[in-house]
Amino acid sequence: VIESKREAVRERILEGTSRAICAAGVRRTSVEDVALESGCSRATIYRHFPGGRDELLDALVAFEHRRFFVQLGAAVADAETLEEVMVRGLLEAHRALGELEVLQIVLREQPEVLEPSLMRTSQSTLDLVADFLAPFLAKDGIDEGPGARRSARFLARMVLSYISSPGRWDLTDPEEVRRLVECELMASVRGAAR
Amino acid sequence: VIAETVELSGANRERVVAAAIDCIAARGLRRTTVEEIAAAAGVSRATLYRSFPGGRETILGAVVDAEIAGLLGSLEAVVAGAADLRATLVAGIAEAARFVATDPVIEQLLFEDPAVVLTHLEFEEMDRTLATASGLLQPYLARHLDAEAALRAGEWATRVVLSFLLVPDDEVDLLDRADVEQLVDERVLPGIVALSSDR
Repeated sequence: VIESKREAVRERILEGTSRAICAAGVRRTSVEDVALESGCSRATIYRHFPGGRDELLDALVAFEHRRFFVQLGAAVADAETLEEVMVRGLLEAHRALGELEVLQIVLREQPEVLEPSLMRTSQSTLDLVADFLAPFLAKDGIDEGPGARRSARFLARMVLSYISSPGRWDLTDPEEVRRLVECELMASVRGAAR
Repeated sequence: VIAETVELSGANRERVVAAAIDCIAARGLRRTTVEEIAAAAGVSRATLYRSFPGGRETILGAVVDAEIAGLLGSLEAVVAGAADLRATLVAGIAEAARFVATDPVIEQLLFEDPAVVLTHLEFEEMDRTLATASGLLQPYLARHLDAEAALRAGEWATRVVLSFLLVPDDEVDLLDRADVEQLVDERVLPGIVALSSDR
């Protein structure tokens, strides 16, 4: 109970940080602004984030990152097939990322805050996405065991690559996303299954 | 006179970037100062700041650009001699991994200040890197594929390589030829073949 209360306060502070940044930008957001937005005292903020402003920014990026993938997972969890989960996942991720205003602001104003945190979280994000995709691979008849695990990890790598940088693909166009999933992603695991 | 000034500042930029690369390779990233770079380039601090108003950070950005250009140049050299699509992919991926593993500056950057490199490899910047790499690889892949499929194939292969370089995998060692061949046969080629036959 204490732990979940602690989590709730942290979350409230980070939500407040996010609102403050969206209102004023990264550089002009102080611990006082976060206190005001979150309705917590400065003392409470420093108790939860002893590193102050820097630690808040770092924690915010990790928090938004995690929330992004949790919501993405929830939005596509009812998909029937591996193909469907990837098509819907890419469309939804692309849309949601565009709407993640606070991340765009941090990226524009202070990308150096974002990068180390992405670097640290990249391996765990890969595991998260691979674990999410694994049951769909099994449902699709791609053998279980180490081969399926490797395939899930490979798909997770490529899905993450497209989410962060669409390159030549228009991820707002369902037809194009379907072609990408069918011809690149699905082909790359069917090849391995043979 | 303006053209001359621009040209001169271009030459200065190149000298500063080359000097920065030498300094970083010799002493590491953290111990390389703007003063040392200016001295090694044989230009004054004022001249250096005229070419790089942002100072150290913009010099490092230009160093990363130069390293990416160097990597693409060495890629071009190996894929030019490859006989078929599979050989092109295997040679290109192996060379990219070798270059990153042995280039002293990339190693220093990744080890000491990954943010400098990563800002080039995330989001819009990554899109630019993908476009540059796939544009450069296109003529070589177009020997075996149609023009559009060659662009897509270059991007696909570049994504695969960057993913394994940035987030290493215990089971896939891109410095090992057999691992590269397996990756190409199992993952990279099937994606290219399916896409180019989907017309």
